Amino acid sequence: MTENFEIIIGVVTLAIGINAVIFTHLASKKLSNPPLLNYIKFVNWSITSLILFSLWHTVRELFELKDIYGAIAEVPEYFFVALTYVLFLLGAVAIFKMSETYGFKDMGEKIAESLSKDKPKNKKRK
Amino acid sequence: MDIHKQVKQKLGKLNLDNALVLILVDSKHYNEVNIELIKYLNVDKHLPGVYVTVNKPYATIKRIMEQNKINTKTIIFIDAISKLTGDKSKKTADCLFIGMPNDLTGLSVAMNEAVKSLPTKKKFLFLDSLSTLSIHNSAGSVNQFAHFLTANMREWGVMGVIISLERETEQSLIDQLAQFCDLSIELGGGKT
Repeated sequence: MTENFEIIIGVVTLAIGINAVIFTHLASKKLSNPPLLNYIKFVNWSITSLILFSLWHTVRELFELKDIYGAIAEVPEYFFVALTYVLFLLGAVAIFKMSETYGFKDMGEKIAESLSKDKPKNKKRK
Repeated sequence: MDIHKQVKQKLGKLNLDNALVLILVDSKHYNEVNIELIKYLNVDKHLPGVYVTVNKPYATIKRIMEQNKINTKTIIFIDAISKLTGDKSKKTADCLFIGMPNDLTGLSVAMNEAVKSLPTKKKFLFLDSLSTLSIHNSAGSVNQFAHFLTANMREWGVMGVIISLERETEQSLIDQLAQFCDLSIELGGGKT
C-alpha cells in the first residue's frame, strides 16, 4: 500500500516537474534579458535535478532496488537533493544580482532627499 | 514660434498626473526639442523622472542637461546604448547601463522599477527615442513594446513622453501608438 502510494506520488511529481521544465523553457525563449535568463537557467536546472530525484526514487521503489543493492541505492537521491539545493543557492545569488542591477530604491531615496533640499529654494523664489 | 513656446503651449494643456504624449520631431530640431521637453518637465514643473536613452550615451545627455541647468539629481537615467561592459548590465550612482538596445525585457524591468522608486506622485518617463529603438529591434517587437509601455505608463500614473524622429519610424507604428496617447505633437520645423 505504502509502496504503491510512493510510486503514484513519484509519477505525479515527475509529470509536474516535466511541465515546469517545459514552461520555463518556453519563458526563456520569449525573454531577452541576460540576468533574467541566467536566473531562469538555474530554476530550470534545479527542477531538472528534482525530476531526476523523483525519477530515481520511483524506479528504486518500483524495482525494489534497495532490497537488491542495499543502502547504496539511495545515494543518487541524496546527490540530486544536494544538487538541487546548490542550484537553488545559485538561483538566489542570480536574483540578488538582478536586484542590485534593477533595484532603484536607493536612487529614489536620493531623489527624495534632493527634492526636499530644493523645496525651500522654490518657496523663496515665489 | 520658437520650440520653448511650442512645448509650453502644447504640454501646458495636459494633466501632468497621467498623460501620454507622442512627440514627432524632424532631425534638425531633435536636440533642441529634447532639451526643451526635459526643461519643461524638470525645471518648469519640478518633476522628477526617468530618462531612457537609446540614442545618446548617458554622459553626453547628462552634460547637455547640466549645460541647460536641468537638475539631473532628480532624474534616473537608463542607458541602453553605451557598451560599457559588453552584454552585462551595470549600475552607477544615477544610471543603469543596459548596454543592449535589443534587450527590451531588461528595459521594461528597469523602467518599471525606476518609475516605482520615484518618491513623488507626479513624475515623468521620457523615452528617447522610438525611432532608434526601431533600428535595433524588429517592427513587431517595437510595436509590442510600445503597447506595453503605453499601458504601463497609465498604470504607473506618470507623465509619459515618447519622442520619435519623423520619417524614420514606420507610419503604422506611429498610427497605432498615437491611438494610445493623449496627444500626438509634431514639434520643430514650423509644424505644430
